[in-house]
Amino acid sequence: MRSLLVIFIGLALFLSCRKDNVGYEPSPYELEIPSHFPDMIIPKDNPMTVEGVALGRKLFYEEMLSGDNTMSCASCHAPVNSFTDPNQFSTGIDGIQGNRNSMALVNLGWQKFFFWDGRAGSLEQQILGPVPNPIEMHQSWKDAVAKLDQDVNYRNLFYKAFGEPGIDSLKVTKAIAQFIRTMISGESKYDVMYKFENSLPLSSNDQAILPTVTPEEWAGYDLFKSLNGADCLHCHSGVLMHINKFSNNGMDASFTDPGRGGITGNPNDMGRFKIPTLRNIALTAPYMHDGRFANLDQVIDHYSTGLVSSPTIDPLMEHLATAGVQLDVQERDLLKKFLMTLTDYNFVNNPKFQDPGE
Amino acid sequence: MRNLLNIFIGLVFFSLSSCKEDPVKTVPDPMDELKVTIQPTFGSTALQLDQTVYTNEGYAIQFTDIRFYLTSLKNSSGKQLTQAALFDYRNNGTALFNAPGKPADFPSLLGYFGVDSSLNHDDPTAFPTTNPLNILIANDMHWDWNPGYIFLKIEAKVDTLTDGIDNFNHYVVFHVGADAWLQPWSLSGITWSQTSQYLHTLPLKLDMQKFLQNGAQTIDVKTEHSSHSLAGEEALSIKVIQNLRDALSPL
Ligand code: HEC
Ligand code: HEC
Repeated sequence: MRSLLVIFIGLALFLSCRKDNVGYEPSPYELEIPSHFPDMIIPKDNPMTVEGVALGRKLFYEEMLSGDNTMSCASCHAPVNSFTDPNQFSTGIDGIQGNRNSMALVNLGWQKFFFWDGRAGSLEQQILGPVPNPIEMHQSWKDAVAKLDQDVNYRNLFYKAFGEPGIDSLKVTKAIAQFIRTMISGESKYDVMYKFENSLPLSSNDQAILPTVTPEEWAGYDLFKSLNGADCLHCHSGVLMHINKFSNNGMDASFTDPGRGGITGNPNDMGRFKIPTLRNIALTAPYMHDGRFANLDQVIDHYSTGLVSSPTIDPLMEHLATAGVQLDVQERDLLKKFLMTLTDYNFVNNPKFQDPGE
Repeated sequence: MRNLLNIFIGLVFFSLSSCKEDPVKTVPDPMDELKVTIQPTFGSTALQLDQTVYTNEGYAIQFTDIRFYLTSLKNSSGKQLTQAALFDYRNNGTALFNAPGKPADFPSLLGYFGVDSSLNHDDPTAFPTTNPLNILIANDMHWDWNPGYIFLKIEAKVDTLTDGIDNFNHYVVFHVGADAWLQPWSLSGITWSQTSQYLHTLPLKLDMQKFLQNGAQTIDVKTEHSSHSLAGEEALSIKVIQNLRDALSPL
């Protein structure tokens, strides 16, 4: 009896002084941020982990997230198209089309608002949208989570990513957001031109690419930046190739889609849309929020001669009086050649971003 | 045996609660902080963006964007209060900056209206993400082609016809940058007012009427409505930045 007591006391003391929280922890993920990019701000409640990113990648290609198990995020955000949809409007599982063109998913970790009208303030919040959206994947989060929960593999992957059992919609969005933050594009020809122009260090790989930049591409870059040339830089500039702003670039006199105004109700925001990045622009046709332009020539024609006035047009469309920047045929060609330098094949072909299979 | 079990359970509970490490106290020592705010006005009344006011020439004007940098703010013996501050009325309201500091150390402030040339050509992606010079905060206050920061952006919509019909179709865009236009800025005899135990505030105002009408140095927005600091725009660029600097004074 006495000895039993001693054992118990011993056991109790042993149990009591074990450190809390021993056990499994996911491993931190090191983002590969190009040297000429700013640091990425990661939300405190969703740190990047190796297991989280791997899970997010699998979920991005997961068709169980849609009501009839036929559609994944990648259905409208395909890798070869810099993660957008080559169709003007995407078709959801019920065959219904929206009225907006899908958006390229590139360098989103540096952005502050999402969707053409900026209605989501974080990636996590954005990703809550498409699954229940009736014109997209059309499945309640409850059903989506229940399907994943039936799969023992997913139960394990979620445990590994978050260090606790259980699956819910927040964890799904957190994992996909982690994956999307790894989708960094900074290895296009433009990146070498940008670094060279700004006297930033060039890697040996960059040194090899630099002499392959043609005089036409440099001339196109000059036009792009010149206030008396194509005058694009006010809105599409810097390493990210866009600024954080809603703007009306002069496409319509009146608006069928209110854009930002639909969210704020502010008349000054009517017809304003998120300024998109021009990275990988040659791969992301068709163009604009409603995909109205089928190719880059049409986009360049718009800015050259097609501007239409409206009360909310951006004052930085400074050549409105002449309906555009009036580029001649040769200049249009140079500008297009420059836009092609923004394509980053290492990004779209990166095996880390493709469907993991299984 | 029942007793023993009870003792055991009791012990386990006791030990679980007793052996937890005390949480480390994380409350830092309170620090003195200084805060500067700017209230835009038109004459003596507070001005909102998109609000209609009237210029001396009688035009109706709506300011749509008011932004500028103050940098290298130090006291007269060279102690720095902050490296850079960005006023952005649309996105940050009247806040200019908060920085650690004691009121007694800063009876005066000297620095630049615009971005100090020693910072102006640094890589905008390399500043810490909380520094207003980081490209994520600077956003479109940086020019790739210059390259360097845009020191100030004033944008407005104007109705130049005094016919009683609203038609704000005349745009004013002043984007001034480049080292040549950098202006010294200073303020002396500062009285910091105590806002809370460790916080002192300096409220400033930015009089946009004075911006348009700075003594003899006036800007007629009908004819003088655009500057990107290019060659040929020197006279207007310098007037714009000097007038805006002079429009800034204690509230
Ligand atoms: C049926 C097609 C479709 C599916 C499926 C789809 N999206 Fe989208 N996505 C779009 C469209 C269209 C937009 C633009 C919608 C808008 O602005 O209203 C968009 C916008 C986005 C954006 C905003 C990008 C930006 O730059 O602001 C992100 C991020 C995104 N989708 C991620 C996802 C993820 C993650 C999934 C899977 C959970 C997903 N999408 C599934 C069509 C789709
Ligand atoms: C005043 C700001 C502004 C300027 C200047 C500007 N753009 Fe844009 N750009 C936008 C906005 C806003 C959109 C999205 C508009 C929409 O979808 O309604 C856009 C969209 C685009 C798109 C389509 C992107 C996509 O993913 O669909 C391309 C390509 C483009 N711009 C190229 C250019 C070029 C080339 C120039 C110079 C000739 C230029 N832009 C000048 C604001 C601007």
